[in-house]
Amino acid sequence: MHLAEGVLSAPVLATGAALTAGGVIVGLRGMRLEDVPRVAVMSSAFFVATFIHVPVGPFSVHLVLNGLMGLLLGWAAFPAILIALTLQAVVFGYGGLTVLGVNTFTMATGALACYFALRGWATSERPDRVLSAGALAGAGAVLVSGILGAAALAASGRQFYGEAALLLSGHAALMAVEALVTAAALRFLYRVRPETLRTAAAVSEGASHG
Amino acid sequence: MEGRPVVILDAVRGPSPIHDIDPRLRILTAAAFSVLLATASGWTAPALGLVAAAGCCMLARMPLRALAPRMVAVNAFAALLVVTVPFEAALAHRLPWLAPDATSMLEGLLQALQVGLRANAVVLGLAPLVSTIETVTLGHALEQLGAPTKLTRLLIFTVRYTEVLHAESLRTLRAVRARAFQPRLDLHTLRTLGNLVGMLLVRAFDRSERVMAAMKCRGFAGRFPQFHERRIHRGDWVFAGCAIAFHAALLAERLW
Amino acid sequence: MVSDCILRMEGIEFGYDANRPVLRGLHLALRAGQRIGLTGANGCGKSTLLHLAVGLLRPRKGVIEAYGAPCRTERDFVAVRRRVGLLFQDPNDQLFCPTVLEETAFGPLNLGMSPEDAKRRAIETLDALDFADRAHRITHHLSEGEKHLVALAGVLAMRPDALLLDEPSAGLDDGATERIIRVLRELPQALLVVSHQRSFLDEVVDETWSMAELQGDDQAG
Ligand SMILES: Nc1ncnc2c1ncn2[C@@H]1O[C@H](COP(=O)(O)OP(=O)(O)OP(=O)(O)O)[C@@H](O)[C@H]1O
Ligand SMILES: [Mg+2]
Repeated sequence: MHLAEGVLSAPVLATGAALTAGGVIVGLRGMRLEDVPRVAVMSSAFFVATFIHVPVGPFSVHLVLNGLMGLLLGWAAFPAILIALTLQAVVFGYGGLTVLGVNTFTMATGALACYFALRGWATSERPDRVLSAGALAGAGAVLVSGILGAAALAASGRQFYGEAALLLSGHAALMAVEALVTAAALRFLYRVRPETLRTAAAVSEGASHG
Repeated sequence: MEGRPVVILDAVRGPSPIHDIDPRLRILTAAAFSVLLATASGWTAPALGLVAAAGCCMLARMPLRALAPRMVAVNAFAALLVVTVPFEAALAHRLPWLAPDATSMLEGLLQALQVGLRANAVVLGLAPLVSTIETVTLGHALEQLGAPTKLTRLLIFTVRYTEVLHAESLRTLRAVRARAFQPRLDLHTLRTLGNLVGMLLVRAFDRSERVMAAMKCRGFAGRFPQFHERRIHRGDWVFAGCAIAFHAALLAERLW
Repeated sequence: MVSDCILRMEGIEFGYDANRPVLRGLHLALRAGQRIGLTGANGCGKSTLLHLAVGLLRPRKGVIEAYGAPCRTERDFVAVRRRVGLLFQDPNDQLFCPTVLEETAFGPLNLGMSPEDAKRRAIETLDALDFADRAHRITHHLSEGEKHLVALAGVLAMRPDALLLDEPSAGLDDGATERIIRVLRELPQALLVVSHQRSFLDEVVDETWSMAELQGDDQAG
């Protein structure tokens, strides 16, 4: 999921950083200080999810959950994902500082796309809609992030087209995994703590207005 | 089992000369180093960067255990590039059914090796400079460097919940294993993981609300206290001087 | 007879930190149908022992045998866990499904039962604990005592050969305690029950071992 350091070209890195900065500013503006602990829970969950692996044939993929982040956080997904990826870069050295902008942008845009497309269903009273919203968000967020990541690679040079295609195809299995896990997680929240699904949108309310 | 939480966000411990340097200075240096090297071209700058990074690792007494995983990750990708980019470079200038010509393949290979060298330098440089900063200190340092308060608080709270959530996820995973659960690629597994994620979130949300309530009970009104006044000492000046000289040299090399 | 020995632990040494051993030279053998209580001071390693027995932790030294065969790898223990049930001391570690019914059916599903069979098994088990009327309750919203019961149901539903129960009666009211006692007395399985309540152990088990005994020179069991 991460793009590595040293690969992307300077214009791509700069564009990613600028777009991420914009998204983070919008996200922070909509967040009150009281919301910080709740958003932090989501960025921790995003971080911890990377430790949970699912076997796929001889390989394994780890959970990403950016669709879930989008549905639960809206615009606040930008700062939340930025923080999770920063910690990952600082503590484990996976993905570095300069690709932070691009990596955050690809993941958070996937999250945000799900928020705008699916928030109606995710906050619906009907369990089948919630379940579908989860499945679509899980798959959709990974797809959008994958496409953006591949585009960033391809934009950095003709010689990376192969890697871009590889990255995108590697996302197919992940999409299926994320769809089902996100659907189940959303169903869990719907049954156990439905207010979570609604207050999530509230964090973004401020962002859209302010 | 309660026990101690498994600490996963642990910084590489000191003491070392690098650990003594002001965290803000280390962050700024890491940022400059990353930007200059990630956008470098040719061989000289990445090679110099790699040497400097290795030197910093030695100074910081980085244990191999902390370095190995990240070097493996970055070089796995570099290896992929070395294998594929030459062919793509060759194909880029010709029609796909013609045999790839040797010169452009060689060019591609050199390009891939350059990317690999750059990536190694950046990752190796980042390790001693920022992986030696405690994550909470990192939050404070970023705040002093002008990052928005909400963002740095988000970082600090995230660190706090990550330890809790991680420990809890390990306990729950252990408990499902005790009931003969084995992860496979099937619906049952994915539903189980989804439930697990949902459970973790619900518990963490509950906890975050209690934390907020407790903070309000103690008179929290939207401001956090700030401590950590750190005095700049001589080592900081020395390090800053070296860092500036090194990056100026990199820039000079690039402009020539 | 070796074959009727469900679980045998021989010379087990374990510590979470290298310099602070928790278990030293522990010996234990649990035979089919044996009903044993286990006592010991807080922090002496009872829960640790149960986790070792099903391979959730690995000993530094010593041998663990199930049904006469030594267990070393995760694969060996996966087989053990299908036949030896462990009730965790803290039900919050164990419960993670939205509803009581799903929670109870989780183990049977792992055993490869069909969803319908697993559900039937879950309801039967809940019924025995007088909990069937609450099968659709949200697990997270239950009281601590109710959570204990559901966690127990989750293990009982797998119908294991042996049950390792870590303080099954903690936090239960008199009625629930009596129900658990009744259920446990009727079970044909081997039992290893950790408890600090003598009166509870007296009702449920035939024999009580102390952790000190198990680690002493005189071998118990
Ligand atoms: N995850 C862990 N990491 C480090 N130490 C641990 C961990 N879990 C338990 N311990 C330590 O191991 C020792 C044994 O713990 P254990 O939980 O097995 O005790 P116990 O006999 O079950 O106690 P209790 O009666 O309180 O349940 C204790 O000293 C405890 O502090
Ligand atoms: Mg215990």
